[in-house]
Amino acid sequence: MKGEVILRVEGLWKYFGDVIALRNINLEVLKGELLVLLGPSGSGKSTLLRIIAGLEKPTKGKVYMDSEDITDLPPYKRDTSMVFQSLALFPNMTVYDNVAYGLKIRGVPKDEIDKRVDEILDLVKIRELKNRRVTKLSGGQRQRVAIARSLILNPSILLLDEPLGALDLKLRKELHVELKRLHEEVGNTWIFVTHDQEEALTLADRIGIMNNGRLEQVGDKWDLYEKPATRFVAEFIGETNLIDGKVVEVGDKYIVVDWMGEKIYAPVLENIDRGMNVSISIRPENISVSFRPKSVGEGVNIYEGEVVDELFKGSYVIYYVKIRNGQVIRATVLSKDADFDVGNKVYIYWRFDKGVTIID
Amino acid sequence: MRIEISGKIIKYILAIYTGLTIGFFIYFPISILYIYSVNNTPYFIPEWRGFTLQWFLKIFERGDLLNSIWNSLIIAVFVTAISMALGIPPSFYLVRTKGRIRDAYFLYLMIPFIIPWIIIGVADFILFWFIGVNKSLLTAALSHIVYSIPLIVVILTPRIYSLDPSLEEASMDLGADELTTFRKVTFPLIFPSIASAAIITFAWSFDNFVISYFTLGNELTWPVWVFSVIGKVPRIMPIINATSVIIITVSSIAIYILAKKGLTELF
Repeated sequence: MKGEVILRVEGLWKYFGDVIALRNINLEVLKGELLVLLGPSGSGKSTLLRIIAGLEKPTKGKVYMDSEDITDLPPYKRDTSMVFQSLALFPNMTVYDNVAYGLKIRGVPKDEIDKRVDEILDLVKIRELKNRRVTKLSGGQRQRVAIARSLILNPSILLLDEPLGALDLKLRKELHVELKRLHEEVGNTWIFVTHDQEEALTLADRIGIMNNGRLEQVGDKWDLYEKPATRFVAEFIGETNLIDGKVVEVGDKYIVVDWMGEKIYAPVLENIDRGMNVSISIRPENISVSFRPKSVGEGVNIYEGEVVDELFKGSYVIYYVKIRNGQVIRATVLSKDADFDVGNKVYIYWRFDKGVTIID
Repeated sequence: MRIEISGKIIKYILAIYTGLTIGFFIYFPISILYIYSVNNTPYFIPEWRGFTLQWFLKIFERGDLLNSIWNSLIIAVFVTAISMALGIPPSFYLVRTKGRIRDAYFLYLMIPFIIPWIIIGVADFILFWFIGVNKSLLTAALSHIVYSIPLIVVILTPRIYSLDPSLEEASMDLGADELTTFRKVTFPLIFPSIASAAIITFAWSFDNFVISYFTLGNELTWPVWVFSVIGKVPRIMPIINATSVIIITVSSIAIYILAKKGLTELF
């Protein structure tokens, strides 16, 4: 059934010598979803994928699939299949032999193998390449062979480790559409690792953000964008202003934070207290800019400042506004309303609930 | 442009120079062997005395010669098989581990490769005397293995090193256990190096004189037999000559077939 938990990772730690690759990872993957693990290189996302595939053993922690503990199962006894970053196509074999490999190992009769290879090659649209040597294929074609080789085994979970990393941008974009279609047609669970934010936003049902061995946040793209749980997530997805300060007052709806001499209102959090250090993330498009101070209501942040720089982006303009405490805030304005110039005195303002309070 | 052209010319000159050297010192003498193997005279005289196959037929009249070739073949097969079995596993170990123990092990393994064969021969001669083992084909074969293991390691390790480890991971991920993965993925991919290692080990063992001389018993290998009859048995040169021609021809054909098969399997 869709929506059930198919894979659960519990308290996972991984050390390589003294280097900590994973720090206490807890993750639930839902049946049928396309989960993207997104993070910079070295963040541990590939290691997590390899542990799920059985190619690495965790130092601590457990992996459960359909509630069964599979932590110590070798890769060939798991119902997962991996598409490698290098693709790892067997260079001494044809497309057919590569794709048929898993079925041959399982002792499936020859005529059934032939039938299923044809079906899967149709699905990835490379049937005419069946008897080619894989060394004679283009990057995009090799990609399709690698996916077909895994999909033919009908794995409960397909693992993809930056499979598009070596391709050029245009081809990647084509394959994104293709992959999305494949995932919908096949209907199994996919875990896709990438460092490419755009790729993640295009493909994912849910995204898990990884940084420095930690799984910082898991959620759909709107969750991550609108309610980032950590500074890293706030900065990694989209543009944002990150404001650091100390809580000076805790109200019912909002807190007051001292930001280098300025007061700033931000949403209240459950376990927040006076004196705590917090960060406030405020997206540039949530900040308004005007020449005159607007009449302010309760919990509205308003600052006087000067435009120090502008960046024309086509449909919108980014203004860099320096306020009285010396900090520069970025605000975006649609080009049709962008009447400001460098040197202008302006006011920037936003209601407290446009910001996000982060305790890191 | 000019630099490019002169660079090309230099490369040609170097290639031709090497080609001529090998031609003069190796292929030219060998072609003389071929000519005299069918020349109707037992002496190396600069004169054509007519075509004959008598030297080839005479090989079969010399039981001691046939026996020595047979002994050489047996030893070479035995040495190749045992050395491969002992040389392949450490090649993987050396490529896939790091650290001081690995480095020390590498030295330990490779030193026999640079020890002069005469020292290996004499040392093993003393060893067999010391532990009271009668020298035989077996003692000679065991002595050949000493230098064959590092030889195999030297040939195999670069190939294993260049093997993408994710190929084996992919195989296991697709359902093959370790053994099946080795059989279906690793072995075919390193086969060209395994084949060259086997051919060279075989050839060196078949050919070995120095070590065999010290470690054989009453049964002789072909090189040792040649040494024992030259200058002592009259009219033996053309027979040795004919034998050499057969050995060169057969081994050239074998290498050609193996090289061709190895290449088509890969590309």
